[in-house]
Amino acid sequence: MNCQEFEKITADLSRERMMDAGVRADGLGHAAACKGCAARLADEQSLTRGLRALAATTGSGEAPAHVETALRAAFRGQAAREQVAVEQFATARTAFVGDGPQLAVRAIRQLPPSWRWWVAAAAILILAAMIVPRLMQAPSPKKDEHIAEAPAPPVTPGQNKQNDSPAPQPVRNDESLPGVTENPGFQKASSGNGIRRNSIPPRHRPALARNDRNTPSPTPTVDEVYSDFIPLGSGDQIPMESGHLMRVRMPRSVLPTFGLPMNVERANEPIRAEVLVGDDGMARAIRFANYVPGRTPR
Amino acid sequence: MKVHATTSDEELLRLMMAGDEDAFVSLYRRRQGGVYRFALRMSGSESVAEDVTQEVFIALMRKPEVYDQKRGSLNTWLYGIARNQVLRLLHRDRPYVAMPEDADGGEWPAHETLIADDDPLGDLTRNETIGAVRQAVLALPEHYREVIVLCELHEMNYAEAAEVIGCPIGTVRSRLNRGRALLVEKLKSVSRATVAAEGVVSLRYAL
Repeated sequence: MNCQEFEKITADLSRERMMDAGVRADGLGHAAACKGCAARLADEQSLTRGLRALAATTGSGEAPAHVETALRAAFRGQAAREQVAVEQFATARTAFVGDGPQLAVRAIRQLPPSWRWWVAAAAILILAAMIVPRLMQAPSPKKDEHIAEAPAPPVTPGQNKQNDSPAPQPVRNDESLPGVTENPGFQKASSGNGIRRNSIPPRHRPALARNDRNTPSPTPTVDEVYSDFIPLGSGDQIPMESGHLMRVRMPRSVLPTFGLPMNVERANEPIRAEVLVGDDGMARAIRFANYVPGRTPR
Repeated sequence: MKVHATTSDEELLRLMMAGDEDAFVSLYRRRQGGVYRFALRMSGSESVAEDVTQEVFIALMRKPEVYDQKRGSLNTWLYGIARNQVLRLLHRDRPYVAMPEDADGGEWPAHETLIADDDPLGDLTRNETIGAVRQAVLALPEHYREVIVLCELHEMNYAEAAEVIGCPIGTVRSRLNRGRALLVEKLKSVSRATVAAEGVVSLRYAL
């Protein structure tokens, strides 16, 4: 081994890392015969000792406790921020219908930030102008025919309605659900689509759901109906293989952002919704409970 | 709080993404020490290290889907975020970062366990030496410093350091050799100055 070759392995020799035994022996043999390389090796070994001593001085350093406290608070607030993000995505998403929503969202992303809001606002106005008159002109319901097509399963008193049980079917309720069967935009609640309903234990649900402890639990009722799922996100997400439904309460004022009309008189009241969350944690779609155009959602 | 002592990082991440706060806290407690020490050793500032630690885990909670298990471990991914944050803060605050001027300066606290009662002079020399090494590391250019910190102070292998930095393994190896050579030169000059000023033993014997 010559000095040039020795220099390449000096650091590994001094750091006592795993290396080829033959190379090590050659290197140490060269250092024994070459004063310059021996001095270089000694310097490197001294440096290694100094670095290890330095590592030991801060080897047990940890972030102060207030960092963890702040992060926990941030985690609890994460669900609220996700809700805002969902609204923003939904605004862009629902503003474009037809064959190219993904292209439309990408096009919006390429716009300057200040332009995006104008485009989104214009799209919402156009969509509202298209949808609201149609919803207002929806014919009166033919409830009896529809109920006959989908008989409600028996609901056993005391049955766990929330977990893994068949989703409750709507029952006939002429007073509360007019127009449901006639409006193709709304459907009955069902879990027969491979989606796990509330499969995550309650204590593991995000803060948004936990923060709702003091309010009445959003236990499903037997006569709940839901709007169709409204897709969320940018459209370029990984296809969802499975997921779960997460029940949330949202301000009623979010309805227009999804292109749905809102009862202005009850704008301050919350509305229940179910967010479809994939196993990757991404919100994929949302639907609103008991939302019936022209009637007051419960 | 539920204890996730044996749960893997990836499983904790999955639970965290499903909204499990306990999983997030477990992951934080498991990995914050390394992230904090890396930032401290790179910056020499406790406040920067705190900020970086916080930013790293906020990034984790906000965009966990960015992590790709195929490209490396979660630990090295967190180090990578920490590295970017440290460099960002150092570049932003470069005019205001004050490097310690002497062995007693700086924000790194002396480690009590290194001070032995039976050899105070030897330990004093050792602490001075540690201070000199610390200053020399902080004075290195960033691309050498990060390799020294990762490979020498955090005992990562070349592959792990390459994952953190995002460069080939050969680059890590060459930067490590060059960084160590720079450190040796720096410490030799410190040793010569010390000998001239105080007549103490050379750095080599002090170490």
